[in-house]
Amino acid sequence: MNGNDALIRVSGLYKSFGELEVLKGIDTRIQKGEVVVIVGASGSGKSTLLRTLNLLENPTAGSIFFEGEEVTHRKADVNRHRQRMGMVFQQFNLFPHMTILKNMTIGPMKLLKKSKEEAEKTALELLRRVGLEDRAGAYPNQLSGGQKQRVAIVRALAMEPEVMLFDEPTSALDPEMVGEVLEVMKDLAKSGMTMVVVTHEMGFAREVGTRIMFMNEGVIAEEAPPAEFFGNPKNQRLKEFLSKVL
Amino acid sequence: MKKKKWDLRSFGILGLAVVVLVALAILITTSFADTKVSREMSVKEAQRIVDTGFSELPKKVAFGAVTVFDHSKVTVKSCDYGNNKDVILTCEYETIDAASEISKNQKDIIDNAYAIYRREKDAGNMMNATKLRLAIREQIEGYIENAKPLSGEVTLYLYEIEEGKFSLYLSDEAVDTCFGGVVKIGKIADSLQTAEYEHETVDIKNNGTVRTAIKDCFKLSNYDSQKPETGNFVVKAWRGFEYDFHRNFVEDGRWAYLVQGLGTTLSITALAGLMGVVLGFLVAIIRCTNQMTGKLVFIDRICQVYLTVVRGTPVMVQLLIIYFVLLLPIGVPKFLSAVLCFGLNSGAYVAEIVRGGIMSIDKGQNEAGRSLGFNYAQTMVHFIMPQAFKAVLPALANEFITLLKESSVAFYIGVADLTQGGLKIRSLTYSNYMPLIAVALIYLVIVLVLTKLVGILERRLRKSER
Repeated sequence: MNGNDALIRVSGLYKSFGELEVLKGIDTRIQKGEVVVIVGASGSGKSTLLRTLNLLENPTAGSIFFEGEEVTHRKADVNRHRQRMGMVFQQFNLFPHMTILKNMTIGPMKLLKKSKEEAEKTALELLRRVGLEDRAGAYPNQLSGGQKQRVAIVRALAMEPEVMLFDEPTSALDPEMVGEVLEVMKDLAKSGMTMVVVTHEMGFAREVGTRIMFMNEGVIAEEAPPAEFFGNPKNQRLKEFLSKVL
Repeated sequence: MKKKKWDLRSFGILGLAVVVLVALAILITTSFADTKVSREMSVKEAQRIVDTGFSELPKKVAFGAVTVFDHSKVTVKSCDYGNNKDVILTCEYETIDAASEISKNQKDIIDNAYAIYRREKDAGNMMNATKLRLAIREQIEGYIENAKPLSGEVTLYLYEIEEGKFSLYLSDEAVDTCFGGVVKIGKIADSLQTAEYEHETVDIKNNGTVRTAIKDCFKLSNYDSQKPETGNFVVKAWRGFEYDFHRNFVEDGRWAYLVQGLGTTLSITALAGLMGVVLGFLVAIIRCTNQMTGKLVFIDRICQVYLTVVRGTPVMVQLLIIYFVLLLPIGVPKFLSAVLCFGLNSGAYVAEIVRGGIMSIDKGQNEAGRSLGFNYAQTMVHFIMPQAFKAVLPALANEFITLLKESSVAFYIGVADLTQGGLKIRSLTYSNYMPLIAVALIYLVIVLVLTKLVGILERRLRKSER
């Protein structure tokens, strides 16, 4: 692991919301092709860490490097950075006033300057991959939660990002729909996409994750490959956590 | 339960409809009852009105002058009742054609007498002058008195201006027939009160001033009529309605005041509405940007002052200040001032509506846009504003409707809008009911149409999400 060619490098990251300090010094590296799963109790700062990675939250201190380039720098092009980092939200956040196809093509067309035909071709291909090709003309409100989340994933993919961030992508779903979304994420991981996933799905973490990060009170309390993470947890809080969720 | 359509709800609706209809009927009949116009009038009655008019004529027309109008006599033969506006009188007239009665010789005598009178008057011998003038008058009367009157038939019209007050209307034709043969000696000046004796003959037929003066004389006032109360309630109400309607809207093309006023009101509303929307969106976006990014602090402060002042003072006061204090001195026309005022006013309310709309859009929409790589402005344009616009459309429409109604205060600075049109008619006809109800109805119809249009638009927008 050569630190210098890490895809993402986070160093000394702090984030406070007013008086409340949520991130208290995060240092980590994420290599290309890794699937990092972040777990932890609610309020431990895992979502904030994820949101800080694509600067939806501005860090109070510390820096983030993406392909060796400091994106937390005052003069960094935040919008370009975000284009290269897809994000999937708990609440899907599809644009309700646009069709599925339009949801997926507006980014590539406006930001990547793709032609309409090209953008639509890519979008339809992606929709086929997640089995929603026939819903291209539908509006988000006509879809089920699982379908919406699959669309949200391919919408982010349409921007051809180098990293995909998932912020509890299955937490707002009915249980029977969790599987179809996780399936899509597994396929994505297999295809070699670098992924950072905040989730409570331990099965997914164990099966797909290359590294699992346990966050506790604003710091990374433990990180390890799944076998070691689940088989031989060292941190006391992690043990307690695992005993509750497994 | 066989006939399902006659369930309780149907009865309820039917009952409601009946109540509404009855209320409407009561409203209409009581509204018209107070006009109490009854045109059932006897010939005797009509003759009294005509005589009153004619007896007042010489005093009015020829103050200090000599006139032959005294010798016109009109006898009412029959009254008919006009469809909507008047009592039609068929009359015989007798009048004297002074032009043919006064010979060249007699005219010379009068000329000489007048020259002497003039000299005396100019010299300041008022006693003598007055005596001479009266002598001349007597002389002329003498000439005419022996004349054989002309006679014929003429149609006159009686209007009831309000209860018990009549106006005898002489058409041009009637004036010509009754008085056309008369050559008047003595001039009727433009102003009746200052008519000064002039030795001159006037051809009534071709003299507009005299003709108007004669017509003016027949506006009788306070004539105490004794109208027989006939005709049933509904017929009278309907006649009253027709009569009022005709007088307020048809006569002299008075409807044009309302049409032109409506045009002005719609123009003001449309232009001010446009300005309000542009201004409102601008202010809302500035305020939201400040709220979400902390930028534009100074402009945001200005916007806050604008909102506070506009929303904290009555629109009428704003209008008066904007026009009389700010714009009149630099020569801005009334119409434009009204547009600016209502635009500014509306902008403040639109701004708060739109700001509410933007804030009501889920934060996730902004995050989704930003996470795809759109910048703040792009996210606003593509994702937030379209949704916010849809959300605030009903409120915006209501604001527009409010604006339409509020624009009626424009008449305070003399803009000839719809309200002003109604007031103008009211001042001409002295009736309150017709013009004001008409104005209200026109506003109501426009508001209903607008409401309907907004409903259609809303439904269409909602469809796009289903």
